[in-house]
Amino acid sequence: MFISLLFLSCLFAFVLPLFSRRVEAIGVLALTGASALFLSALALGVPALFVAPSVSPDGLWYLDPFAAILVIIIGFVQWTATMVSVPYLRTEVSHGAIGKKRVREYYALVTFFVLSMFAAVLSNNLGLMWVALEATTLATTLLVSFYAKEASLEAAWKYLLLCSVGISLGLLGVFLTAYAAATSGLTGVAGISFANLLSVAATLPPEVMRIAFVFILVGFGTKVGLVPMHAWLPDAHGRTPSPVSGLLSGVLLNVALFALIRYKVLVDGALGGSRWSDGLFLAFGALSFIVPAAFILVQKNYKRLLAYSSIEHMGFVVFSFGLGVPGMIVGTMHLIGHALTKSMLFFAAGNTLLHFKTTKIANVKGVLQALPITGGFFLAGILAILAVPPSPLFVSEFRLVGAALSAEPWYLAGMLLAGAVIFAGFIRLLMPMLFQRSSEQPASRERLNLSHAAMALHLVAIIAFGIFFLTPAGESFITNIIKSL
Amino acid sequence: MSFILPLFVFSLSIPLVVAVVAVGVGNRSWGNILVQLLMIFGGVTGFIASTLFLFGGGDSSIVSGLLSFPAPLDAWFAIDTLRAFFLLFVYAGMMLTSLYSLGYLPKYRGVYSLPALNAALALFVFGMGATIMSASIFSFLLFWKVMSVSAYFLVIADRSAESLSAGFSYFLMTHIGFVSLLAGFLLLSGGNVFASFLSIAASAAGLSSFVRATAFFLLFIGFGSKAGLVPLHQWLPYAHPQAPSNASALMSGVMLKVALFGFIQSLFLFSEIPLWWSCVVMAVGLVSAFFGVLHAAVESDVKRLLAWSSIENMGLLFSALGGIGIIGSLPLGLGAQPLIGALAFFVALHAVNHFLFKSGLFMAAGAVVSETHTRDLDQLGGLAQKWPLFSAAFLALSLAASALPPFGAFYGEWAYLQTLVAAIGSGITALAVPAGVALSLISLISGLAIFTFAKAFSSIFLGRARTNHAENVGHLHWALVTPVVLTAVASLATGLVAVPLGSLIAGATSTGDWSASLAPLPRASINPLVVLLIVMLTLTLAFVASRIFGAPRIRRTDTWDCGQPLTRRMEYTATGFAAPIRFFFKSIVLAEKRMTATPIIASNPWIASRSLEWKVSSFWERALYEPLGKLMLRVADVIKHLQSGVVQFYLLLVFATLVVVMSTAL
Amino acid sequence: MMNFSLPFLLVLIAGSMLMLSFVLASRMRLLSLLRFFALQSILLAAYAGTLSFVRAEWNLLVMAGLIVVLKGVIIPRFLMRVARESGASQRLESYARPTTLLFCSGIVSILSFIAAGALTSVVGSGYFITAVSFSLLSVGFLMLVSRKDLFGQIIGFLVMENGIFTFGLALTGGLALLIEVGILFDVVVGFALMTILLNWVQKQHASARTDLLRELTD
Repeated sequence: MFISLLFLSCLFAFVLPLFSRRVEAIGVLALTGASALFLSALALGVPALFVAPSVSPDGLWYLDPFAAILVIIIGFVQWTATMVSVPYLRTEVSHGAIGKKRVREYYALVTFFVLSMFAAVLSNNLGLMWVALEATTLATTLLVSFYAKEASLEAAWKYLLLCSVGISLGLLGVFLTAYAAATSGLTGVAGISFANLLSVAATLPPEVMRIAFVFILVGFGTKVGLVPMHAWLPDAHGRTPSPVSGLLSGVLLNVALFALIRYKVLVDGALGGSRWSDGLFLAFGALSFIVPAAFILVQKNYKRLLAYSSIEHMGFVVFSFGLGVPGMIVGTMHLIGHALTKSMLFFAAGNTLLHFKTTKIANVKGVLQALPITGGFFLAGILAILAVPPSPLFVSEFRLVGAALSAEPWYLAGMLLAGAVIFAGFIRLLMPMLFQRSSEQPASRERLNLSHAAMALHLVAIIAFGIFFLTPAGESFITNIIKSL
Repeated sequence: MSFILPLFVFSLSIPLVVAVVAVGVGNRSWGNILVQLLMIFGGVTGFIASTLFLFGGGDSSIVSGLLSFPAPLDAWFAIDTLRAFFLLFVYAGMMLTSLYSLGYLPKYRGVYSLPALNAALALFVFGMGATIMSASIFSFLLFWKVMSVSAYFLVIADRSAESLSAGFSYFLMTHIGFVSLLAGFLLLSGGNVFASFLSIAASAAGLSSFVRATAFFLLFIGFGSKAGLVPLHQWLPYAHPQAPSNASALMSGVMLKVALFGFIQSLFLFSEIPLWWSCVVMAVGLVSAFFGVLHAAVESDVKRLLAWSSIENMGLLFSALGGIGIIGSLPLGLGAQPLIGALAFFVALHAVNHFLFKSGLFMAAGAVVSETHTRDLDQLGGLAQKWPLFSAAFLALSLAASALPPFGAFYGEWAYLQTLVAAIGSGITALAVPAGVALSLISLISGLAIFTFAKAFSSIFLGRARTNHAENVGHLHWALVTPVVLTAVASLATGLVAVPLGSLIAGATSTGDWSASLAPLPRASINPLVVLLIVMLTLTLAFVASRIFGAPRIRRTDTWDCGQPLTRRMEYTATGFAAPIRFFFKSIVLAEKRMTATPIIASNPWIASRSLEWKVSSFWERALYEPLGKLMLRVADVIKHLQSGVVQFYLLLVFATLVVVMSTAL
Repeated sequence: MMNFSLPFLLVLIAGSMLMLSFVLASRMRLLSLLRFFALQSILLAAYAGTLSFVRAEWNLLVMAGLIVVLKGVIIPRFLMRVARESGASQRLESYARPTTLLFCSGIVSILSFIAAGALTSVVGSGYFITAVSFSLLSVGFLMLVSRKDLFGQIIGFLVMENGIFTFGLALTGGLALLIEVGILFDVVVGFALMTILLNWVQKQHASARTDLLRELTD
């Protein structure tokens, strides 16, 4: 019932901004819609966190605690992203960077994007999940190219082409899974229903599932941004309007990863005790963690730097999911922490971009001086992403070393080394940007607006989760989420 | 004394409260006073708690030297004598620097954001205290991180490009150190994140020798990088001086002791320590002490000089720990006990003394800089006439730092040297060789240390002022002078009570089995009071003799100046003073002098102006840091070719990945 | 009679699609490229239609109809119109010459046949049709990699999609109508977006060469 409410809210949020032509009014309407959406996501997600997985009566939707936590995250970040979008678009329109007409287009696309993420996370039907995942790419392409400048067109083209090709390969995996189901006696729609597949996972032909998983891993992995299929990610995340970058980096990557994990559960079931898929996760995770370090160390553009950091964090999560149950706990904690932190960082980067009109690190000086509030959140976000307590990432980093030290010491050694390089890159590049004094006195004091409220909400959530994960209750909460997988 | 436990919790929580208060009061002028008074109050309570604990053997809540906390806190905190001893540094440092900040910080209202700085300071102190009190590796590393990160903000407090770059190297090294500690502790605990130190000590014995050695050296790297041991020291002489002086005092005086504490505590986690581990520790310690003091001797920046000297002192402390390990791993039987006791005596006493004279000197340097606006020794001079009491305190601290009698540092080093002599005489090769090497190096090091502080004191206080700023200094605020005088007096006092102090803190190591009693070797034990008496007697005799035999006739005349007027530019500078040292060690201390002469016009050799560029860089910078940095950047540039911008290449990568992954499936 | 000849027909259609993919890989003029693509899509539709008779799954007929309309007619025409209106050159560009491309497509298709051999030992689909679909996939991929303009890449992507569809049809004979329509819808929207981007690029640079899109490199 709550699922229908969720999709109705999507429709509501989609339609509402169409009622006005004034930028201000559209913002208010969009925010109303987003708030309704957030509330219905809470209504759906929160109760589901603590109960066993359930399939909707029509067989189309599957809700387990893991999906529920993602629903909540999507709901929350889309809400805050809309809060950030309102002042962001207002400023861009007043600067003449975009036309007034495009504001409605923006909100419509964002809502459609959010809708497809919800559908991808909730669908029981793997075909529908594929359709929804591809729909996320389609919805965001026009957002990537939103500024219609040369570089954003280039980014959009690469994004669309690589993700479409990747997800098409994933489709082969879906077909093969359906085929495997057919050999286990599930045909038609039943053959691609996740709940059904899960119940017969042990009888699925392992050879077929293996091949299917290869296509899924490479295909969906492209959307997750795993190295070496990641090339589109820094381009796209760096060029999109910042609130959407926050959604892309903080949420969409997790949604794609979630789809990947769904299939991993199936293939692990089919392969019995084999750790084949774990090995792939470890290798891709470590590679995705290590390679971005080089790009972060010598980065010139702060939004791209954040984007590379997202690749690295996805690598972290994927790696942890290759480590069995203790790793999955780490991965889930990290996923939650990263989603909240990275989107906040992109919001702060957005305000910085609006003020300094450039994403080049070398041209930005004294963010804390010019934008004390945004700068403060930026700083807090950087510290949180660098796993300074009380960030949830501190807990997950700590636990990852504990989980991987004896199991995968060599991978871990490489990752810790790369971690130091990433750390160096962040501090070397971003701290001077924030702290250095610039000779120009800011023309006016930074005024509080909705975006600051959004970042404050994120910060509160980050600290709350950081402290919560330290407690035994936090651990059992996450364990409960993992158990349903 | 059941109030001792709440007292610990209370004093630990005060800095946390202060952090909030500091932000709350904002830039109001009484805000700083309130904050510092609260900090002093917290320091006093903590100091009392620790002292009571060290004395309170009869307390029923203390079971075999360990104070256990009630249920939710016991997973986080514990107190034993070792911890209580090191907490003394934190709380004493907190009192002294907060007192100092009352006068110091208001002068820098325009440079630092006081609310942010005070909050960072409070968090820093909290982090140090909580790290020491931690009972499990999780809480230890958590608070270690809190301490390290807040220290970063202290380093970059003035937001200059120089500070940011110093902060960068500090933060990076801190991260590397943190990760080493994390890996080291988790190796010992077998991946158990929440293991307590007590349980690790029990479980680590079952690990293979390779794992234990890896863990040991990871821990050594972790704590050594924080303590500034060579070759992981490079950040320290840049970072410590960049912080405001009250923070520098805490960083050099206290944070380094936290690293020392961490290492000592880790030593207890190993049931046995092979000889070669200890040899490595001792060698690294000695090399660090040597490099530290050498750079201190040639340094012209007063705060950086002090930072280099911290490296020297930490090196000595670690070398003594290595010495303890060496003795412990040799089959000496009962003969080992006094040697170990004597070295532990040195460690404890020198830790106390280094804390006192180094934080005192940093605060004193801060006071000088706040009036003269320069850290360059070549720009100072002549302050003795302006501030007699202050300069007497500085002189006392310098003598303490040079380990001269009758100051406490002397008794510590004396015990160390006597132990080395005894070790050489023991006739056991494995003991005599390292002891011999150590003895010769330490003689060199102490000589250079005396040179260093003679240079520091004379350049700042003697002669005539070399610049107008130094000439026209004002009156020093009482809050700037008091803590400096206090530390000077305390340095002297530790000398007078050195031996009783040794037995007093004997309990500090009673949880381990290396030492039952801390005391210098019998023949090394000099009665400090006798020494003081001798010193005073000699001085009096000299004074009387000069009165009786010396000509009391005073002739006042100009200094002979060859007919040229004497200017302050002719004075002997600190840089010039250190020239012989630079010459002797020129292959290690790399000095670059570049003279640029600008002619009036290109065709005319007539010189319009000259400028001198002067830079002293270290051997490790050239041999290790710069090549490593370049290598990293080059590797990054190679990897960057992945992002070629060619979409066809990206697609090719996707398909190549598909083929490779498929090959694992078929 | 019918039951005997229908599988043969399937093989015939698949074979023709394979041949057409070679042609597609090596053609350099936009118009002929689009024509051959339309032809290949219609063959795909015919394949789906024939399959629906073989397996008596009538929803495949709907799919076949949709494929003819969308991929056989609308997509090629639309792309042609965009090219004409934006004044794009008919002559397309590639990293290699047509003969080389033909040779390469032969190679990748041989490799696909080998790979299909390994796969059909696991998956019970027909060897030939699996091999053909893999060939289409890899030839489409070859086009994506070798073409130096957006038109060629779009068509390459569509050829790849044809291969995936063929494989899906051969393997499962259809998931569920709704899902398949959804998939087709996604492909069409993806194509539409690609065309929009192509149009903008063409307008901004008066060319649709991919080497204009090489700025984002750090």
